[in-house]
This record gives sequence, C-alpha cells and structure tokens, in this order.
Amino acid sequence: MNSKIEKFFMSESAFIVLMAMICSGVFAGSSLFLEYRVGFLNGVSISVMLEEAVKTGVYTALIGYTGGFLFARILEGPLVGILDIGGGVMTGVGGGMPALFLSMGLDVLIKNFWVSLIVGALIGIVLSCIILVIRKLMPNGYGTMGTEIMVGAGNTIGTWFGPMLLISAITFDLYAGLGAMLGAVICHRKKSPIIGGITLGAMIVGYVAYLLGLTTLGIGV
Amino acid sequence: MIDLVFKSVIIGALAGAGAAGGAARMYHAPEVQGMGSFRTLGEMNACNGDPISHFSYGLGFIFSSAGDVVGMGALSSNVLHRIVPNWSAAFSVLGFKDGEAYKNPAKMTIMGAIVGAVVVTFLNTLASFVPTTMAQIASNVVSPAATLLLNPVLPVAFWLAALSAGKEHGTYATIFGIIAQFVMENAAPGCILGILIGQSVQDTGLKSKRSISMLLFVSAMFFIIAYFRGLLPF
Repeated sequence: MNSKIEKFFMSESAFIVLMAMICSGVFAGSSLFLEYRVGFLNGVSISVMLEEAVKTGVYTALIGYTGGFLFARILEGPLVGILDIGGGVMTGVGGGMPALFLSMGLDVLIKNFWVSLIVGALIGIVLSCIILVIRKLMPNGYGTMGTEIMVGAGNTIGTWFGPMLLISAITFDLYAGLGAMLGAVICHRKKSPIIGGITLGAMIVGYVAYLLGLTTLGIGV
Repeated sequence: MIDLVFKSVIIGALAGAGAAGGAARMYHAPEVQGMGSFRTLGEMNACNGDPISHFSYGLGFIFSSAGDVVGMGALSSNVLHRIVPNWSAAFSVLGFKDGEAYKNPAKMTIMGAIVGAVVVTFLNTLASFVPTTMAQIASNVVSPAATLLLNPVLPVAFWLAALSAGKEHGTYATIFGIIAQFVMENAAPGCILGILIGQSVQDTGLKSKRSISMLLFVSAMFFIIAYFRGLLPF
C-alpha cells in the first residue's frame, strides 16, 4: 500500500476523518432505528430509552444521561489518548444527539436519513476538533474530572436492565416469563450477557405458546 | 427491504471504517489520538494478530448481537467494540498478507468498511424476518422495563455513585439532583452534573475558577429550563 496514504492515516486530520465517518454511521443508525426499529448501533438499554422518550415526548433524562457520558468521554479521550467510542460516540452521538434534536423540534435532522448522514459527520468533525484542541491545551490535564464515577454508574444501569426485563416479562405473560427465565439461565451458565437470552427466550416460548393456544398474550383476541 | 439493505450498507461501512481505523490507531496512543476503548485494546492484544483468534472472538458476539437486534432493534455495542475491530484485524492480516496489518490504520479502515457493511446489513435484515406477534411480545416485555430504567433506576444509580464517591460529590449531586427532579422531572442530569462539580470542588476547592464557573453555568442552565417550563412565578 502507498506509504503516503499510510502516513496520512496516522495524522491528526485522519482522526477528524475517522470521527466524521463513525459519527455519521452511528447517528444515521439512530435515524434507521426511528424508521425501521432496527440498526441502532448501541446497547439495548439506550435504544429502549430513546424509544420510550419518543413515545412520551420527555427527553430530559435521556439527554442528561447521554450528555453526561459524552461530556466525560470527550474530556477523557484526549488525556489518555483513546476516545471511548462506547460512551462518546455510541451513547453520546447515537442516543443523546437524536434526543436533543427531537426535544428541540428539529426532527428533520434525524428523521431524514440523508440529512442525518451529513449531520452525523458534522457532529464528528466538531467533536474531533474539540478533542484535538484539548490535547493541545491540556498536556497534563485536569485529572479525572470524575468520569470514572459516572462510568461506574452507567455500568450499574446496564446490569439492572436484565433483572428488570425478567420481572417485566413474567408480569406480562406466564409463558413469555418462563421463556425469559430459560434464556437468562442458558446465557448466564454460558457466561454471556443475559439480556439477549431474555428477549429471545420470551419471544420464542411466548410465540409457541400463542400458536398452541395456551395464551392470548392480550392481543389478537 | 431494498431501502433497508441500502441504508444498512452505508451505515455499516461508515461506522465500521471509523471504528476499525480508530482501533488500529489505539496501538499508537497516546502519541496518536486513537478511539475504541481500553477493553477493546486489551482483547485485541489477547488475540495478538492471530486471524483465527480474532475471528472466533468476534463470532462469539454475533449471536448475542443477533438476539438484541431481533428483540429490541439495537445491534448492541459489541458490533463496534468487538466484532468490527476483531474481524477487521483477522481479515487485514489475511487479506494484506501482513502480520502487523491490524496495527495499520489505513489497512484497518478499508477492511473495517467492508466488515461493517456486511455485519450491520446481516443483523438488520435478520430482524425483519421476525413475525409481528414475536415483535409485540418483545415490546411488551421491554417497554415497562425501559420506563423503570429512566425513572427511578437512572437517577438512583448516579445518586448512589455520588454518595459513595465522597463528601463533595454527594453534597452537590444531592443539591442539583433535587432541583433537577423539580425542574426536569428526573434527577439524573442534576446528579451527573453534581458529580462533576463535586470532583472539581474536591480537586481544586470551592473558590477555584473551575468550580465557580461550573456552578454558575449549571445554575444558569437550570434557571433557564425552569423559566421555560413555567415553574418560576414571573
């Protein structure tokens, strides 16, 4: 490969390009999520919070949560040399920015797919420039800014989600609940995250029970 | 369906290129600004450029991601944190016949675009084959849990984190948490800002420029929100 290209990819401008690309993709992924209910490039806890916020029209909690993460990661990124794309891009740009724009009534920025690609890229350019400026201004930094406390709390929320899904599943329907239990047990014993197992289990067992006429699921009666 | 595939390819290619290129740059941090996460770097180091290790590590997360996207439409953070970086590493090493290709941002960016497009499109289309009744079950299970997550789990988690972090964190998180609950009907933003202010007060003192400007900024923000929500008597 051309060594000129390889050299460019190690430069600061390349960081801006890469950030523009990833933010564009993630932000447009949220646009796709609002349109088709698939494609959200983040964990389920953020996607359901966004969906719930869209349903109720109350965005403050989501903006506060995701904005806090974005803020913390943008400050931390230049200090340690690695920007955390989980809190910074996926949560901050994928969850927080759509919520911010929707709460301000700027629906077109996120609901139009092509516009969202451009908006996402612009967000990436702005954020990467901020990071590069902080790198220059604060070589020794401000210390931690309390980011590790926030990240710890963020992870706590993720772990709460599994048990709450289980409670919610069995409250909704006996068979969905038993399926959720089965899925969680299998995933737990295989040492993988239980959330995927819970939903898949609830869906499969609930659906089979519905087809067998064991439950109406409160729908289609 | 064609629309979904088309858009998925674009999203996957863009996000995949960024994530893989950023991951390769992590090997050159802190001199070069990388992006990804320390966890990703550690996991990639564990596979150490062996294509089979990288590939099988990513493959393990495809199944859990498939579960998440089928149930709740989210591809899970594993796609950009684990699958894309590790698969890009595997295919870069193989494709470019270069054992160190996974540390090369240029090669990884190209491979990341391809891997991202394929993975995202596969997962997104997979979800559309699910019967509507199944999707309804998922939404009935998830929706109440999501409501609880936003309130009270979210504010409580941050509040507890603040209280256990120290005197200053707990103090400011409690002050701003209460105000946020009144002003925004959710204490979480107040608790988060309280943690940041508390850290600043602990590090630099209450009278430092940083603490005072943060306090003023947050107070002004809350005041403006309260005004526009009609909570002030003028």
